Amino acid sequence: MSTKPKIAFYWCASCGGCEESVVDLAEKVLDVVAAVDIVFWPCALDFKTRDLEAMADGELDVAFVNGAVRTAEQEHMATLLRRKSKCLIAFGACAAHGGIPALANLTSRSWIFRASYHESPTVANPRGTEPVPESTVDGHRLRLPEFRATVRRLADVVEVDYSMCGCPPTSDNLAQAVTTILSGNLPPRGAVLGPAKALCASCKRNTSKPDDLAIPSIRRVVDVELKPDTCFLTQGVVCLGPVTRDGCGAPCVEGNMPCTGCYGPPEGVRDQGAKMVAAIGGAMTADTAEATDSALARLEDPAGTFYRYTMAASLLGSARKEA
Amino acid sequence: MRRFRMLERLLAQFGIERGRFVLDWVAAGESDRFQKLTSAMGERIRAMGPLRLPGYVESEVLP
Repeated sequence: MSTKPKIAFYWCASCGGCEESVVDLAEKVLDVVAAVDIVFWPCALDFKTRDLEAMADGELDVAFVNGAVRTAEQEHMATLLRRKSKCLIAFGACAAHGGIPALANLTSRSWIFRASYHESPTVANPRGTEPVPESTVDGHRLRLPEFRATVRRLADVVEVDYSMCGCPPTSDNLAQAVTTILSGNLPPRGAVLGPAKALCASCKRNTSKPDDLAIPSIRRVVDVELKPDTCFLTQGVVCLGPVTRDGCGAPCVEGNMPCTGCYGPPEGVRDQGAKMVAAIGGAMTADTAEATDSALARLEDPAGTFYRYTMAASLLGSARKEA
Repeated sequence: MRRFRMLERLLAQFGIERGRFVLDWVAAGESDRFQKLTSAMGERIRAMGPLRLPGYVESEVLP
């Protein structure tokens, strides 16, 4: 019987990118497998829910769960994994802050159903069928997990021991986390495994940012030929670096694209989007309401830009608890 | 002012329509003006009816 720590990977409402991050460990995965036993990873290996159910409570040492929580099945799996694990980690932007799926909190379940099952140009649904939790077809009772009204973070559903950020967290982040966990030298429960500061702190372009940042008008990346060494904000392009946690290694900035905020807010920031409104608003030079409106004309989707990955963690876009 | 202008647009996306959020300046001596502004806002909000935040309350979705 192996005495290596037992690890599980699971996904809820997510794209699969977080699983990709595990696969991207490449040859490092051999070091991980040498140190731990992966006992549940349905995305990559043939595990069933009953395999997890058969385990003793607390048998898993660590469960990495990615994805936000939208359906009753995801709630069930999150609860089951919580019970079977000593340490549960919200892995990636969706599990930690809602991620892209939580942008749907700007609309409602009925609107989503209307768009997906009726109005989308590629949908042919003459009988107007919608998925329902229970139905009978040809005498067979069929059940589907209920689609809840809002998208929630993992921590809104079960107690989470640690969070890891990123869309996805890098393979280095994962390797580092596994090493930290194996060493037993863990930060206090509830902490985010990653640096506390904002991305600007390690950004190579930070030296080109003047102390008194002045933005005449917001520009989109298609409006301007971006300079490779200059702070995006000084070029009028929205970069969420000032309100985003460091730890990614800045691959977007390296690729001459601004930060979109996938690592969520740094330590001490409660609401990433509101903080960015304050940061950008404070740096704009327009001095009348009209001038401000025209300076903001190219900012077409402020909520989607500032809360792209943190809607479920935001003050306005998180689940209303009584709903 | 720039922040509030941006915030106003952001709030609209969350279902808090224009008109429910106002930024204005009233000096300590301008009690009449304060009274007018707050009364007007109260009347406007009453006319708009209750907030209908999409996604939060299933029974109160957008028309």
